Amino acid sequence: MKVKTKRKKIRASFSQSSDMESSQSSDMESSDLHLSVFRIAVAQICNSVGYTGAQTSALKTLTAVAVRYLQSLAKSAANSASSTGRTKCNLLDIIRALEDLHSDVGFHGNSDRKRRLYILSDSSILIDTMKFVYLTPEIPFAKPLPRHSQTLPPNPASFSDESGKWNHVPRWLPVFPKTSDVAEETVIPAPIEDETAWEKTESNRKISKLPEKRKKVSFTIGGGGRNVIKMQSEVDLRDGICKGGKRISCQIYEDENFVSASCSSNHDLKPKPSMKKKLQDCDELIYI
Amino acid sequence: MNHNQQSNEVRHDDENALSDFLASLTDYTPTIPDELVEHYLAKSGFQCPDVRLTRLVAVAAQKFVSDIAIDALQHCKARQAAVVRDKKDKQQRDKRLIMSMEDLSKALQEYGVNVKHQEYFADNPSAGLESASRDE
Repeated sequence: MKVKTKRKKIRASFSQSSDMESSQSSDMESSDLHLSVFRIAVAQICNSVGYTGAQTSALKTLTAVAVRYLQSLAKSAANSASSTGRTKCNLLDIIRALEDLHSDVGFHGNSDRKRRLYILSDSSILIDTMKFVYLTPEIPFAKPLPRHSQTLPPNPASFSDESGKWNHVPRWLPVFPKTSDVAEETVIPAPIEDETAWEKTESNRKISKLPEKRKKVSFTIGGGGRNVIKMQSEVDLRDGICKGGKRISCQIYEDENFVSASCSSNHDLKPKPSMKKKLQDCDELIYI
Repeated sequence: MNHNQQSNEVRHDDENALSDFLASLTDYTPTIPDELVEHYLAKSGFQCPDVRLTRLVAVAAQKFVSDIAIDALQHCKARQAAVVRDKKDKQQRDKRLIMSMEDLSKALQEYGVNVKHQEYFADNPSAGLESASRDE
């Protein structure tokens, strides 16, 4: 039938535009993503009302208005909840917020002086919404949405008053942390998959305990001979520190047998003997 | 006494009607998906673990949008009825109901939202002006 084919064409164009939007939105901010998702829902609502098409600018305007409606509804509901000392909103907050939003347009019963302060079933807005739910057919959202797991962390266990000892502590506080009488165990970090060989050797060691006997490392300036020897850690000091031709020697003391590794450039700068003695005196004090 | 009894009865009715409505909300899937609604609610400071209340907010927003769309549709149809056409054209126009900015701005004006759409865009301020100083 002609009508159906035309509507199908327009639905197809709607879906195409939504596909384009969803593919483009990956580059845009998250607010644009939510706007484009909302636009699809608004387009579906317009389609259910009887429209067969819409101008892009009109659709975008309606989406923006709907977003603002939703946000102002949420804000006024949150305000009414916090003004009564609560953090979580309930049905009465929502009804009050709806009445606030629709007060300029007007709704049935707004002029009633004798209505109750806490309006439930006799609020006309709620009744209209109920009628809307009963009368309009369900329109599920067109595209599948990725469902994320709950991002909020689970609430810690609240304080329970088993014995009468903790009467003075309010119940909404979390429980005390567990204190064990056993001595602290050494912390061994779990191995990570992508760590390099160096990191693996480091992580195998127990971090909480320092080794009792450590190797003493001392650096002297001006010591060392002419031979160009590479460091134990395979770092060629010629490129870095010794570029200018200064001589730095590193001595690693290991259980009183020191293995000295020194590296020097081709230029020999012989320091004065008095300076050398002073440096040697300082050497023993400097160890890592 | 009487007043208290009446208020208690009213409260019972309230609770029954509301519990039925909230139970029906769990079955009804609003067009606006739950995650999107929760995102906007969280952005504005609305905290509620109950799914039914978020669905209520979603349904309220859906009702709002559909009300505006219905008003705009009525404006569109009124405009089409005002223009007298032949039979063929009328049938074609009935199927092509496209939401335009004019209808939307008229519908939104009743809700207090003033939307004005540019009729045309020009590349410089003097485009389209009939100026006596133009030399031809």
